[in-house]
Amino acid sequence: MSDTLVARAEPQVLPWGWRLRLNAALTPANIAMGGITLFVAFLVLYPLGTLLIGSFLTATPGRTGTFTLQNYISAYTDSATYRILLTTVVLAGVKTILATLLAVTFGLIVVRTDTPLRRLLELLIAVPFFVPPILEAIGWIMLLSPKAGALNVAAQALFGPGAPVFNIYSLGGMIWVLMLNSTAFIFLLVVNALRSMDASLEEAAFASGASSLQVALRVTLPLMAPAILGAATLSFIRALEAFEVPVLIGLPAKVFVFPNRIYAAIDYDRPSNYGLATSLGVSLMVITLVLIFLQNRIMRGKQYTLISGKGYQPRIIRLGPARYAAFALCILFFVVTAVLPISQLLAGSLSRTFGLWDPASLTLSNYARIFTDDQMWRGLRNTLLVGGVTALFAMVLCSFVAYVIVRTKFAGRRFLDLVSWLPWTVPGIVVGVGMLAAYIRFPVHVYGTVFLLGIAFVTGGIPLGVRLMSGIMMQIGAELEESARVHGAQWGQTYRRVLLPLARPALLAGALILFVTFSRALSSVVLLSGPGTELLSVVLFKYFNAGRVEAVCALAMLMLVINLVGLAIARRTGFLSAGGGHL
Amino acid sequence: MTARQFFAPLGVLVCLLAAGCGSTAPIASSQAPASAAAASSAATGSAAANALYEAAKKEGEVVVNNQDPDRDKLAVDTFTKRYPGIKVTWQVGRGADISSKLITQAQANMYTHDVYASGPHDADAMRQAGMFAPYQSPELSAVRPDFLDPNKTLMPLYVLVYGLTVNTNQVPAGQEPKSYKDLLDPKWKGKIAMQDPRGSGGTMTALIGISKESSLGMDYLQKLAGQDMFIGRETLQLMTDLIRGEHAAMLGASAGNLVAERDKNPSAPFKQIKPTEGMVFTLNWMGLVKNAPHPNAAKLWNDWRLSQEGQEILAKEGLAPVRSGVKVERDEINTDGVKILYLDTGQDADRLPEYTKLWDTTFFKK
Repeated sequence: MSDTLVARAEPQVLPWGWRLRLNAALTPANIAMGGITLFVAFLVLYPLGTLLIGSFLTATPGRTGTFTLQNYISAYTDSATYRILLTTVVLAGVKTILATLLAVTFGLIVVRTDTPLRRLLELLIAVPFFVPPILEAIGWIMLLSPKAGALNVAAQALFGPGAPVFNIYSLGGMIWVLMLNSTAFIFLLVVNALRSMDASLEEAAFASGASSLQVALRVTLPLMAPAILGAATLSFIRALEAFEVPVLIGLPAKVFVFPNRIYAAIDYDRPSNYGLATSLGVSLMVITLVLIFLQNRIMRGKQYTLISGKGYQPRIIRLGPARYAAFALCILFFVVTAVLPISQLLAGSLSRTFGLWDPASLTLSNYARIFTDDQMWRGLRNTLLVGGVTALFAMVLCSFVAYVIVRTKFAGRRFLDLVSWLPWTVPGIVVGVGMLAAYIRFPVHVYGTVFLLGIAFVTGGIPLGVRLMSGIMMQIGAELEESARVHGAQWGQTYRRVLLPLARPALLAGALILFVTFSRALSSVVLLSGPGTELLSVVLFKYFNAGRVEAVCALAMLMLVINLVGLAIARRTGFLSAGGGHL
Repeated sequence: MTARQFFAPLGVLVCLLAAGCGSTAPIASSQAPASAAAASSAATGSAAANALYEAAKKEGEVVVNNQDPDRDKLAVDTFTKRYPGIKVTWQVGRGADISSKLITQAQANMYTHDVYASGPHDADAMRQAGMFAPYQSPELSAVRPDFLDPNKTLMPLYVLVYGLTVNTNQVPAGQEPKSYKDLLDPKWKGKIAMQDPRGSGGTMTALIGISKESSLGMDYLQKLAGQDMFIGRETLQLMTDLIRGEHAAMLGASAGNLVAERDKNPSAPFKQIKPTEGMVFTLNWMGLVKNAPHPNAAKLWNDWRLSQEGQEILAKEGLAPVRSGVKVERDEINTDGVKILYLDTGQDADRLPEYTKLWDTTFFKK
């Protein structure tokens, strides 16, 4: 009888060893980190899981269907898939390597050298990022199309008639446009990490007789590896799924890359074949996993501590007369990547017909149109409000995630790292469909509200936000955290009072980048919000679809000014300056 | 630090985000209701129409999708003046995205949309998903019979007309192509642009029409492919390139595109050509969505869009009307006496994958 009682009572109680381990594990810190991991895993895996399940069904995601492998058979028994995948990887690889080299060079110039007007240069080099990719591509088509491209026309005027000097409709043209945008993107991601450098290691190298170049190549760059590799990987993945350049330049050039293939599944099939698009997206997931694996291999066992408690003002390298050459190089980059294409868009915004540059075509009516459009003003207000709040929330969340991944021994950190890459392995429109299918049946009513849009943008911002914050978190020395703990701070306080202030410039830069991507995203707005939702992306779509590319240019100019003013104010007030990161 | 303290910043941001939720105002502003007497006299006058209006007014709103709501501003202003108390709310977006959303919503028993309007292929996808309630407006009696839906599910709204377009700086007067066949002349090699015909859209329709025309057929398309065509996806890109002289001729711009460009700039150097073999017509449909939340307002909107007044406004917007006897001032959309090379009502929608493969082989794998 007593045995029976014992037998009944025992299963309720864990063995002593387990209880101790459980008690040790259930610290407030672990519970919080577990909560963050579950929250992020839910945000990412719920819509992506719905998509993946949908790709094995005969119906599109979220609808009733029977099991099938047809999407995978269609995607992977066609030799064209592999051919296109190879072209894509080569194209993305070449443009990422070139863009990374340029971005790091410019980053070093503006942060680590005595080049004149460095603060201005930092702003100018980032400008191309703030031009929507579709308009940047159109700007370059205006400049480099074989017959009527402005630079070809100018070359013919100078050197006489002949074969066009430039042809945007080529593999080289695609790499050119992708590379320029990526340079600004990678530059924005790495510049704060470059700034957060502890000079002591470099000084030690200098003291040992190393030259500036040796220090840069053997000390500075290896220490910057996490931030640079993270940014380059993001940029690489972006090239695998971004549609603008493949559709506008690749299609006429008959150079087909992976986004063309995914686009075909969505655009050529009625209804759109999101199952096939997802099954193709699985390739991108595999490539991403390989990249993460390689990245981890490269960085395994190395220390990247750059910010210590001993003050970390980076050493300024004196270039001598070469500083004017560095200045000229930055200005040349700005003129080529920003002034040239943006001049086309500015001229477009002042023309009755985009591309006709005669004085009779000049007009201010496009600005009048957007400034008198009530929907534009409401869209702008809503975008600033919802986008601003969402971007900040996403970056704060990402800073927690990066903290857990980089600075703790939390058991789920590798899983969290992996999950945080996934949202960019599937194109935005396909993720939007996954979110539609997933959240429409969600027990809490979020579908059709702006709240779901917020969830969509936070989810989409995770890869970028986490990479940006990880790069910074890796550089912050453990002694800062330990000293806070010694003084009685809990880890949450340590995070808020020590790590967050140090990471603030990167956090705000990330919020600005996410805000820019938020202001452009359309598919999610159409699929996830209710009718009548007014955001700038909807207004842009409205003008674009009506053939009013001139009004689109005017709106892009307005957004460019707003973004740059925001960036300049953030830096002037110290939020994004080097001083913002001081203890 | 407690978990509560830890999550406090998150909570604040969530609250801020939630505050943002309430900030998006609906697209259409509510109109001040006019007097009931004025509304009554302005309506068609029949008792049934008045009853429909009264029922619609109780619903207060109609939700319709649209790719170009600015173009329809005059339509909304006129409708809301004629029928005060009914707000027109646009769901802006591509027809394919909206249909995808509505079909998924219906699977979850969610119905937020009243009238779905699109080209024939997206409309066909909606029809095949059983997304329409079979409403046929009484105004259809005035519509050209060949534009009616034999299944009596959808209603025609307007017609997109496709021919050829040339750049008048590149092509002097008198040297324009008069027919599709003229484009095979070697002088056009490398000078013709067209929209990607794969998938769906105006050029898909045009090529189906050409392939079915006995005097042209697939033999013609094979030869056309040998003319070193420039193929792009965005009509906007193609029109811009045509006007600035990158291309001399273009296949697949709709008359509506041309009207929009002409309105922006009366002196822009382009000209529409109506080929002697005929023009391609694509019917754009509208239909009452099944379980629409505002069915009476939807019916009233459909009726009004097909009315003489509604169709005249469409003609002013640059879209060819489907109703007989509507005055058309713009030559680009004037289809009087124009031979129809092919009328796309969605009848070949099931064969689009087959045609996509055919165009892929013809124009991309040479």
